[in-house]
Amino acid sequence: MAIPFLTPARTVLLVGDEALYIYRVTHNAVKLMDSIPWQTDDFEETVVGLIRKECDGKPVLILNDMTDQHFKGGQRLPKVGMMDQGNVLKRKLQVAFPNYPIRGALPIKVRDRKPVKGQGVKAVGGLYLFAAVPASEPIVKTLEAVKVSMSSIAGFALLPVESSDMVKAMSEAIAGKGKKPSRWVVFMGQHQNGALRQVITRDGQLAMTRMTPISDAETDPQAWAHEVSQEFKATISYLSRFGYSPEDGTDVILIAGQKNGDVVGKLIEIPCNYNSFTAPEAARLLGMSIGLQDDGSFADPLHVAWTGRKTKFILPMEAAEITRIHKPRQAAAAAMFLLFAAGAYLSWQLIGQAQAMIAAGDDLAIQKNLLAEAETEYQQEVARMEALGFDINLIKGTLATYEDFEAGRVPVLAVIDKIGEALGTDLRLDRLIIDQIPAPAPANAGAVEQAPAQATLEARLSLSFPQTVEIEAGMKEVNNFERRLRSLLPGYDVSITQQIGRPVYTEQLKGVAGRTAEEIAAAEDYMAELVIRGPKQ
Amino acid sequence: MIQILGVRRILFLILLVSANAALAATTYLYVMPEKDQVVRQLNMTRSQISEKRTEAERLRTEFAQIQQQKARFEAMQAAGLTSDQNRLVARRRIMDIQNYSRVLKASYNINSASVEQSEAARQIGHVILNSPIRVEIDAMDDKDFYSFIHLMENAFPGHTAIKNIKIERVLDVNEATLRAVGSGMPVVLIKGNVDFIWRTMVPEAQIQTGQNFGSEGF
Repeated sequence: MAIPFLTPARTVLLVGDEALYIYRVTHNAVKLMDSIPWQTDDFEETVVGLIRKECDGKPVLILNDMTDQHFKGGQRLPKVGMMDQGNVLKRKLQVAFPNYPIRGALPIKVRDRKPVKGQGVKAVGGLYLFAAVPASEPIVKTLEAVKVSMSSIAGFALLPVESSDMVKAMSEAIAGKGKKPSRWVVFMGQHQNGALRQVITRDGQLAMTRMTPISDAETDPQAWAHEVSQEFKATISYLSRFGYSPEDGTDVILIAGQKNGDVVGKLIEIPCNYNSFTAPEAARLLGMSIGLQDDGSFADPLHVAWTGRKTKFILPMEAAEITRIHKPRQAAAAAMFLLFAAGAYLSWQLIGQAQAMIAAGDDLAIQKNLLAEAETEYQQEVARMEALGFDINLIKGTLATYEDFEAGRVPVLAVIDKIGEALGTDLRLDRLIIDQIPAPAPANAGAVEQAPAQATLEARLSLSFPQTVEIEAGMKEVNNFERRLRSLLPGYDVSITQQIGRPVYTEQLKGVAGRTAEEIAAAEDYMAELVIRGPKQ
Repeated sequence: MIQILGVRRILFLILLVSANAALAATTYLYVMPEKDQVVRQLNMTRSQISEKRTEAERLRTEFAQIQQQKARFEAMQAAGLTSDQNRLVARRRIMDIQNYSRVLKASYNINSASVEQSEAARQIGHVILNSPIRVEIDAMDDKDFYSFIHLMENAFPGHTAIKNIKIERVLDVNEATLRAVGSGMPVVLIKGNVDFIWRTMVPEAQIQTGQNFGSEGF
């Protein structure tokens, strides 16, 4: 089933023995535009006009349906490397058909891949069917017309070869899904030039083709049916040389009117699976459409539709003249495609970039409005600050300077408050000395900047006890006083530097034994001293 | 080649090449650079908006702060932070503090002011005047002594900070001292001396005029 938008629309030039048949092939129809006899005076101009105007200059496929087609089967290539295979094949073709400039080679699939003469197929490089067409006047005229038309060439193909897979497809369709089709298939159909084209396939590959002139079916159907059956018999007798055996199974397909087909069916005597279709019926069987036809009994629209819609040909024929026209036009088509693709990409990019630019421009306009609003808002704030009527910097600088002063202040009064609180009602100080200890200078100037060290204080507290106090009780009082100071001044170090009744060993001690108790108490030490240092850095 | 390709095909190819060239030129030489420029402008404008809004927000916050700072600044001005350390004013203030704190005697010595540099003051064209003050205090009660130094720190013009203190109890409270107190005689029970640092800030220009700062006694 062809996919409509992938099916190529083409002009098919069916090269017959008497005339050139110009078909326009689309995905759903095949239309014969005109047939131009070779003897027409302004042949090329007429053909060019039809290709350009009637067929819209679509790529041209030249489909050769002439009698003068030459085949050489079973051509074997010597075993050569992959790189040389093409050249060897070309050389062999040239040797096989030295006088025919249009040539082609088709690899033949060998059934069951049996060894040939004791050697494997691969070992001998493979079998080929060689085909060639002479540079006859009709071919030259056709090529010249195509050249002048400026249409690109889709290919040059041989009708029987390209229709062989159609015959196979029909045979498979007749057999039905899952069933093996017959080994031999004989396809017959009369073309509009009056000739009967027979395409015979074996195992799906072209085995033989014949084209013979017969009478017109409309004039005398009985005579026509008789001629067709006679040609069929002749074909069968030829096939015997190719190993044909009725036991292998044979499908016979005839393209003809319903009644004529039935008559022919009755005349065929050999055991076979006979089927007769009109051209549109056969097209439907193949899953394609050939559109409305004036006369459905001719087979050539079916061949044209099948081959004209192909994307890859079985046996594309090559010739210097075709290549000379085809290659530059193909290159031009490729260049056009690339340029179209590049143009599409550039257009896409241009549109994308332009859209981005326009969007950015719109956004910029919005942002500019927002900037104007922000500027207005800012100016309003500046005006409000200015309306305060004083020097903001002076205020800030003064406050900053004051903060600097405060940062350098040692909290002497706070410490005195806490000392007073710690003393309570029972203790009293004899002396209090508080000194500010300046902050040490930075150890290494120029190193990583650190917060400046704060000045600290050192407070010396001296307190005395009455001579009547028990030393242990006094010591306890001093210890408790120290504990209270620690609790009230958590950021400070508090220590007892002198406890009562404990003269330090550095002191010199003198005394007289035998004194009164009062004298002894007076002489003994009832003084204590504590030191507070901080705040801790 | 023209015979094979045909004039129309060649013209069409030329047209396609030209169209591609025009598209490429328009895209790469005009639209893309123009778009990049617009995007750059857009980013710059966004940045400016953000900057302006931040600045406006800062001013708004600052406005609220400055209202509070203004009151504090005015209080500091009233407290003499920006005074030129007038010695007469200082003398009167110490006498007031002595009276208020009820210390028996406060002998003071205000040294000549020295000029001190400060980065914060320099930015507003000011310098710091630094005058060391030493006060020797005789008091009957340590609370009076405390009151004196508290007032010196909080009620003296400008900024004063205690550097050193020495307080000593010179007499014990006994019958003799109680009798003396009872008879109305001023009895010195507490003696001490305090070193203060007195600092104010003045415009730098005011210093350059050659104003002198002398010392005052008693």
